[in-house]
Amino acid sequence: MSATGNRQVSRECLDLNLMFLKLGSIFPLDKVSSSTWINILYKGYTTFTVGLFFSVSAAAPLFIICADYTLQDGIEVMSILLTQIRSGMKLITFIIYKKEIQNLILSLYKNFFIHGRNLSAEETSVVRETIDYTRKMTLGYIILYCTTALSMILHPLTFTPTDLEQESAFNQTARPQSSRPIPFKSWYPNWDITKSPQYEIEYLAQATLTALEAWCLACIDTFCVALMIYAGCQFDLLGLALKNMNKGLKFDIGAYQKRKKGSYRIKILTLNDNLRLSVITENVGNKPHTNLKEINRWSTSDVTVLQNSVVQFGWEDEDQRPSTVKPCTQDEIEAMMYIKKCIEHHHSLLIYVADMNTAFSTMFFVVFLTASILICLLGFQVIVMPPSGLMFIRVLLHSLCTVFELGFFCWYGSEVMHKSERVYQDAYESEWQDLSSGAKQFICMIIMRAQRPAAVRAGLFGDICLPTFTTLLKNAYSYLALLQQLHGGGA
Amino acid sequence: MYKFRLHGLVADMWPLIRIMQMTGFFLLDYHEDMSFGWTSIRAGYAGSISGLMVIQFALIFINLMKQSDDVNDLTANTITVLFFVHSLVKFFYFALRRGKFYRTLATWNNANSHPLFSENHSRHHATAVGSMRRLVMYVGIGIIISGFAWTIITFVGDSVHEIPDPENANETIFEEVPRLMLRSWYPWNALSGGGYVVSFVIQILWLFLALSHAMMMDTMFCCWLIYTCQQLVHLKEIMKPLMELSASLDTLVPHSAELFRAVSATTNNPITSGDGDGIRAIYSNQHDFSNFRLNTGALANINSGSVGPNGLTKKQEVLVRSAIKYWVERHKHVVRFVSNIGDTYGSALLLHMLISTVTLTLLAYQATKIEAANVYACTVIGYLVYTLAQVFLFCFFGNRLIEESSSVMEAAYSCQWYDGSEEAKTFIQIVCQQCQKAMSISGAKFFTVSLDLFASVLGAVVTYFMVLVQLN
Repeated sequence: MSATGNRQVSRECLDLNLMFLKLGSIFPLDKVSSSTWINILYKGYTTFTVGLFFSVSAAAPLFIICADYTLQDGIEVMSILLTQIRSGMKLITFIIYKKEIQNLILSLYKNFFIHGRNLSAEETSVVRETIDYTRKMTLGYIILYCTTALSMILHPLTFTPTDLEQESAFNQTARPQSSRPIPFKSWYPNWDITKSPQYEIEYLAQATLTALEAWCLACIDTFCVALMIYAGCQFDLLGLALKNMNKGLKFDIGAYQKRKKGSYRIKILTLNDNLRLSVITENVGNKPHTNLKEINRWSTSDVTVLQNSVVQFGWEDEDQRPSTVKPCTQDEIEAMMYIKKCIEHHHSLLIYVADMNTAFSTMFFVVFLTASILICLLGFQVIVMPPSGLMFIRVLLHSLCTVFELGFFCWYGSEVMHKSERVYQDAYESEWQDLSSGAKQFICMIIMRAQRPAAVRAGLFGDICLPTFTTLLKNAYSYLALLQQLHGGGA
Repeated sequence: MYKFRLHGLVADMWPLIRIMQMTGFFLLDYHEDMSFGWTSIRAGYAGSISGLMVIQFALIFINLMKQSDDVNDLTANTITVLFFVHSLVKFFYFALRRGKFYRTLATWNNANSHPLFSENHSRHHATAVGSMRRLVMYVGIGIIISGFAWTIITFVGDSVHEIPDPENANETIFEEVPRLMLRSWYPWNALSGGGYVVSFVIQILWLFLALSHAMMMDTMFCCWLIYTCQQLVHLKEIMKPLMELSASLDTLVPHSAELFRAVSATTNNPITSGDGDGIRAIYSNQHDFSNFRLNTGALANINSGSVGPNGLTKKQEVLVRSAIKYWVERHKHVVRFVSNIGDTYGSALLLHMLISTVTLTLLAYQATKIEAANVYACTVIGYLVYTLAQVFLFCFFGNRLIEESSSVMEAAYSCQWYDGSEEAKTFIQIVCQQCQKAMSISGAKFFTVSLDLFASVLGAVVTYFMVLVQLN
């Protein structure tokens, strides 16, 4: 009962995110549901989303190339173009790197269990806490994005007639129904936006895309961040396992009892043909181990001293084990097995982070590359625009979303780095001084590897962490100040 | 029942804690009489001081809003406001995070000890306490000097400010303002008479309290770092005697030199022989050989007897092992302490750096308007020096922590670990590995507190100043 319950905990961790991804037509796993024709329909849904995205997004570059516009409009369309580039990158990543993402999800489920056993109560509570936190964070982020999308869709409806008349005076087209605005300025060849069916079609297309895109982006961002949060949680579990090694060993003693048979090794020291001693290495001070072949026993340090010296004796091993472990008492064997499992877990976590890098590195690179410029352009719009009406709120929300998204990634990327580094401190905090020297070597290797943090990388930008966030914001501010100077100086 | 005992870190930092209690921090613990009556009196005292701080700060802010037309006034008032925001932020940060501060102060209440190293430990402990008290004294003197300098400079020069002439919009006239330390708005007439005296008294009290609020918390942080550094120095110093002690524990290679000599003595024998007479060929020295006690059954007495292989009693073996354990436990304690400190104070450092960045930018701008060595120049330079000194204080000690913690590895390597026992060698190995990564305090993970941070801040100020001078 508890076994399935525990396995279920790991399955639960991504269920909300996967459900949202399913709604957004970018479900990473192959089978959406059991019946095949729903799967086919879903593929159609995905194709529709991609097609709509590209057809509507093409309007922005066409506008820049072919239409006339003021500086402000140009900046607005540039910012939309940059947003579309980033969203396109994210959508494409989820479609192209589907296999890698599936692997990530499956290994995430597996990595919750360190010793092939179920989670203890403490570990379960840690995991549950993380799951609740991730869910809250997902919902909050999606709500933010939906609000932004709503403001984008609705803002043309609040366009006041006074502005319209001014615009019509400029354009010298004195039509009773002057050009009604649509959410994003666009230009298509042979497509007059002022005529009636075209206006509605375009408005509908842009509104649908905005809604879909906002949903997809929010889901993608929260999915990536959820993967990072759970990776951090698993590093925490590893740290707990290392810190509580004594408690964990007692917990596992049942599991290891079965492996008692045949796990003792005896080295035979051949000094000459007459004298063969079997040497059982043991710690001085522990309870003596009673499986002996000969009466003469040497202490640990004798043997290791002889090994450290330049002479090599004729060692014969009784059973040919490939491992270089020299076990002595049962406790020490178990301790070393425990630590070995921890090392394997550490290794699989590091592989997981490396896989995440393969899948998402390009996406993060594009996001971070365009981030500074986008924040600069949006910030400029916020400064220049009069603070009234839904347009201002839309631009404000858009810039808030961009900064928040960047900070989101950087914060949780930073968390992953710090938690993976914490492993070395947890290894040091375990009761290593009571272990055998072989186990101590293991601990030393864990500390050495864990000192290099496992970081999610953003392509050529380096690691995703909070100092990167600071740098990007500082750059954005410099560009903004420059743009303001140009605009203020020019006008 | 809460029994008041002055021990651990609280006892070492007692003068600082008393000063903090007197200046109104919400440090309601650590008193002998913790009855409800006294606690509520103390809470009331702290609350009233916080009220005074907030109200006066609000009055300064109101003055800023009122005088926001003139750019010069606006900049000057903004700098003052930002300067004293530190005090408010630190005060309320402490009030909100009291629990973490108490926990950090209680970290050293149960420190382990070992008879072999207690003398060294007490010596370093005394050094730490001395340094901490000296630091508190210097900071206190600095605060008093700054307060007095501020008051004195108020009485130098004309206490006026420029406003546009009400009659002639193009010219400015000088309007008198009250000769007070801080430009603040009062609901009464503060220009002369009773109102002036009341305002002056309030301001002088407020000034000293605000300066001490800002600096005392940073001083507490620096005291923690001083203590940590001394503990690390203690650990480094006892490494060598520890190794020498363990060298006499159970190595059966009598002496490294003899081992190497023995090897080179066998000239023609191939060293890596598996033919079995290796041991007799190498260890020709009868003294060496007898240590292995091949022929006797004396080995059987290792665990039960009182004499070990090298003549050390069981008690001595246990002593050495416990010495290693003491070292490791003490080091773990220090690591925990540092992570507590970072946990407690990291966000406060982040807020401090954010506010300081803005303040220094504005100060750089103000500095470009200095024409002569007048009162204005003195005040701007005073603000600059004080702000930079605040940043320097914690950067200096943060850097010292980084250096001390990374030098533990060097100390571990430089002691004669090769003579030590196996257990000592693996202990050294793990310690070296652990200490390769220096312990540092981070400002809520955004930056590391070190002299690099100070250098970058200073560089940024100089850059802004140069750019602004060019633009003028």
